[in-house]
Amino acid sequence: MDNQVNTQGYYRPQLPMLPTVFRVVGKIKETHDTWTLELQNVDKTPLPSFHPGQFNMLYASGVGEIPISISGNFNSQDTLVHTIRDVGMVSHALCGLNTGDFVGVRGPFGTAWPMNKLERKNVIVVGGGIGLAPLRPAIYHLLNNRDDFERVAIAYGARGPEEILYPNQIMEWRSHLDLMVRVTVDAASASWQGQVGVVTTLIPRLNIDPANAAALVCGPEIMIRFAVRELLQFGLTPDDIWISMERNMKCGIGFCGHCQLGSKFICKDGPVFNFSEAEQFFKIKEL
Amino acid sequence: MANFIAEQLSSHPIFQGLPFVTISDMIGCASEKTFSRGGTIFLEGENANNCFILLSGSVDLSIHTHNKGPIVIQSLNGGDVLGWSWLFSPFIWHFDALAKEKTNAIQLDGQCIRKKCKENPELGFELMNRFSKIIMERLNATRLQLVDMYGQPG
Repeated sequence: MDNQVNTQGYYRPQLPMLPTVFRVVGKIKETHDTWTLELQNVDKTPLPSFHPGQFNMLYASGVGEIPISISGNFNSQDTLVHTIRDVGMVSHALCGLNTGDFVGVRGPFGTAWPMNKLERKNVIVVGGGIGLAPLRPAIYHLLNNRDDFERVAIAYGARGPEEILYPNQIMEWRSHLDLMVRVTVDAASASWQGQVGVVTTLIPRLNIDPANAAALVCGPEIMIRFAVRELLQFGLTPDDIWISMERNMKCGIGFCGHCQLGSKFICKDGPVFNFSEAEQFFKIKEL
Repeated sequence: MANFIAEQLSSHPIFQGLPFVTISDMIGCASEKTFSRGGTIFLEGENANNCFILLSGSVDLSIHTHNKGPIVIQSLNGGDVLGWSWLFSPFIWHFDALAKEKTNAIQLDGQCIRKKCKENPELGFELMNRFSKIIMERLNATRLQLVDMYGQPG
C-alpha cells in the first residue's frame, strides 16, 4: 500500500480504490457477537501508517466491503487490528473468517482523534458499546505518552456485563495509578458487582477539572448526543469535545456520497469531528 | 453526632444554600445509619418512610422478576440521594435497595420532614424543587436505558 499525505496531514493510499490482500493471523472473541481480527499484509510490506480514530474499508471476498475503525496500537509495525460486530451480511462474513483466511483492505481513511491538541489537558474518554474500539488507539497513545497529558479518565458503558468490550484490557488499565477507569452497564443481574446505570451518569462523578479538559466520545449516535450534553453541563465547551460519527461509508474518499451528512462526507471530513463543527447535524432530525 | 450530621447535610448539594436554621431544624429528623454488605435497605411495596443521603459505599436498586430473579437497574454511591417515594403519596417503595458494600448514610425520617414542610411551605417548596431535579436526572437516565442504545442497529 503506497501512501501519500492528504491535505489534512494524514496519510492516504495512492490508489485508494484498490484493496490490498491481508491474511487473518489472529482472531479473538470479544463478546457473543463481536470479534477482533489481526491482519497481516500478505506481501509483508510495511503497514500503512495510521492515526487513532481512522478506519479501513474491509472487503469480505464475494460478499462486500464495510468501514471498520482501526482498534489496535498504531505503533504496531506488523499487524492491523480491527474489532467487528456481527450485525449485517458483510460483518457476519468478516466475523466468520479464521486464521489463514484472506481479507481485502483499503485505507486508512478519514480524520483522527486530535491527540496533539489534547497535550497538557485533562482528557476524558467516553465510550459506549463497540464505540470503545475506535477509541482504543487513542487510549494507547495516552498511555504511551502519559507525561504529555494531565489527568486521564475513561468512562465506558455497555448494555450488560457480558457485552463489555476488552474486559481484560480494562482490568489492566484499571491497574494504572494515573488513569481513572469507570465502567457501567445499563442493566445487570444481582451477581454483577460493578456499577449499573447509563454511561452519562459517570461523567459528573469524574474527579477532573473541566476547565482544562477535553473529551473524546464514541458510541451509538444517541449516546454521543446525551454524553455531549452531560459533558457540556460538566463544564466543557463544544470546542473541547471531539466525536466520532458513523454513516454508511462506501468509497472512503468522498466521491460516492453514501456517507454525506449535510455539507460533510463522514469518510473524508470525518469520522472524527470537533463538536462545534458537528453540533449543527444533531439539530436536524433524520439527517 | 448532631454536629457531624449538620456538617454533612449542609455540605450536600441537595441542601446546599439552605439557611443554617433550616438545616438545624432538620437535624431532629436525621440519624446516622450503617448497612452491612448485602443488607436490605428497603423492599418494594414497603412503606417509604425514609430518605437516605449516602456518605460512602454503594447501593443497588433492583426489581425482582419472576424468571430472571433480581435485575439491578441502578447503582448509587457515596454522595447520592437514595429514595424519593417518601415525598409522594402513597409513600410506598417501588424497588428493592440493597447495600452492595458496607454503606454509611444519613437517614432522614420522611414523616418528620413532611411535617416540617407543612409547617414551613418555603422549605417544602425548596425540597420539592431540589428533589425534582434528581427525579428528572434519574428519569432521563431511565429513558436512555429504555432506548437500548447498544442493541442491534437498524
